[in-house]
Amino acid sequence: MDLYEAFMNISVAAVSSAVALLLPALGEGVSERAGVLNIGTEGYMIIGALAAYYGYLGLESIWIGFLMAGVAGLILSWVHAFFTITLKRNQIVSGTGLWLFGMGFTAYLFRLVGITAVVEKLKVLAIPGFQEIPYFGSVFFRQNVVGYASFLLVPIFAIALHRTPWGLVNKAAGDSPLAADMAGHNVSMIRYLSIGICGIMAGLGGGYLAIGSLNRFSEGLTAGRGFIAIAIVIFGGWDPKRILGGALFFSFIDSLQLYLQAQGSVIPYPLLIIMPYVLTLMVLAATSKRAKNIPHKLGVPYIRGEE
Amino acid sequence: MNKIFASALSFLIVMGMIAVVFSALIRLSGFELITVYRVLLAGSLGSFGTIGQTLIRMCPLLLASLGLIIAFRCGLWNVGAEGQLFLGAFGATLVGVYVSLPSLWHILLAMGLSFLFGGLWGWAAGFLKTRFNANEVITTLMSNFIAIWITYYFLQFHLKPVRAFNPVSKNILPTAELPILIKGTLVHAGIPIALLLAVAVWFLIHRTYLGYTINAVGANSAGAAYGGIRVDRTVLISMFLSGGFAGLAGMGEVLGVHHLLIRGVSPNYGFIAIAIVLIARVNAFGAIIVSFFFGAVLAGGRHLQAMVGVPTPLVDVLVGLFIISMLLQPLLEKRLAETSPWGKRMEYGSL
Repeated sequence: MDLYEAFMNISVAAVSSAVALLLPALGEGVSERAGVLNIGTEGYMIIGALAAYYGYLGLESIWIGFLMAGVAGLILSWVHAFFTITLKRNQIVSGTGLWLFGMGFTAYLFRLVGITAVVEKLKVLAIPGFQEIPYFGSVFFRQNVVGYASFLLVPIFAIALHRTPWGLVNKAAGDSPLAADMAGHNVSMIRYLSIGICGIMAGLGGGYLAIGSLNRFSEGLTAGRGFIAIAIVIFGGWDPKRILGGALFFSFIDSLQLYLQAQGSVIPYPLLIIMPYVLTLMVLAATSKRAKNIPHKLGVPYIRGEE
Repeated sequence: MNKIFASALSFLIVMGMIAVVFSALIRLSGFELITVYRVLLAGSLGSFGTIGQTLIRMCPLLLASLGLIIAFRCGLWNVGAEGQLFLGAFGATLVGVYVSLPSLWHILLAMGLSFLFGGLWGWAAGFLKTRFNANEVITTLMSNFIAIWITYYFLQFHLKPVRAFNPVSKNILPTAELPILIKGTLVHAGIPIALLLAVAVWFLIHRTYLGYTINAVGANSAGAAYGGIRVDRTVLISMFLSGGFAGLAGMGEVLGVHHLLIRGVSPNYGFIAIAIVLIARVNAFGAIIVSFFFGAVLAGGRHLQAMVGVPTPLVDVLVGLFIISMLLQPLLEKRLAETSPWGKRMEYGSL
């Protein structure tokens, strides 16, 4: 019984903390399908987190906070797009630069402004009827409104990517930009759009972390979640459904780690903290060989006439 | 002559752009431009002693950059120098604290173990790539977190003296300390070692068979395999050497600067090195100049908060701006070179 209770507690924590991984991973999945890797996802997230926090504090509306988070992520991601698509520069270097810039800029601004007030959290929204479903109900139906919306985005993304013309064109931009170009599609525009979606989603993910779950901002708040999101995308084979599975799995491991820490486990906590990262490596090793879905032109700028 | 002119002019233009953006940021935050720049300059190049401050930051940057040059030349995006550096620092501390040997041998053994620790960590990412086809960008990125926390684990639970409060190791034995070369400054023997190794890496890349295979694999791994080069082996060797040099960077910090292991042994040296290598066009001699420059930025930034109240993360902002803006430089240079009647110049790879 004790074990069951522990398992339930960990699961509840895992599902709500999965949102901050799910949002950026969904966005990064779209962008990678179009052939663009965003190493700077972590940077989009943290800048989204700060924008959400100040937006909420300054304008006293949590929705304006989320709006600003999305816009901040979008702006930073389009800087990445400008360098990697318009100027055809290296995606890893641009991403690394934006990550460092984002971390530095948010910490700089946060110290400069010096406000550390705690904001009010979004209330958990109970959906009558659903909560009574045994096991499942009490684990999944304890989210705030943004949490529910995030999980709803999974089928929306899946349909958009797999069942719409846009999804197909987006995939073409990542698999064979030449073919997309010859079919009359503007590869640059497709990629700008996809990177923008990644930026918005990562910004919202950071915003959720700041005002949706932790109700404050702190330096380095995102703690590597942007990088784990990239790993989840690979783990999930660039497919929204499996990305959801990956996000839940990772946050379960992370919650387990936190739980063991709180219980005063015999394993020293630094070794618990690395569990999700070690797991990522193991999963990568196990799945990369058969990663058939990898966008063929991931990380490669498209230059007309050079293919 | 004209190529050099185009190159120099393009660098100047990009630096000017960075200066404009950076100055605007300082002004918008309500600080005096002149004071900030004066503090930055005084803290990095103001006197004999502060040049030493610049040099001791240049040392780990250069060593980590040398490792990255080997990996990047091989087409491997090793972004794990930071973690490799931490493990190298850990290895050097083990030898420095727990082994007693005559001075020269003590230092050499510490160097060897730090190279081995960092190298094996890099090799592991190479192994995941060659054996399991795992993308090295992600694996090296993840391995940073693991290495930093493992180092911290040993520091907190094993290296730290029992009654100590802060997570710092015991001091290394005096025999393991890298000697100070210039009295009254912090300039330690690691700096000339790093410079010598820069020459060695240049020689390795441009004048040896191994360097040829590394370049060949980086330029076109399928072609290299067709030409009879063992690609997997080259990848593993490159990753080992790459991690090893980053490990040496950690060694220099422990044996030359702190003389013990601290938690914050590296302020993102391993990540800044990525920018250095890019700006230096993956060239070891270029890396010397660029890492000196970044060493100066970091040294200048260290007093910003204390002296003028500018939050220290401004230095990270500056480094990030540099990395992004320097992506413009090759384009500008090409454009400038093309406008002149004299020759065009080739661009290096996909950078």
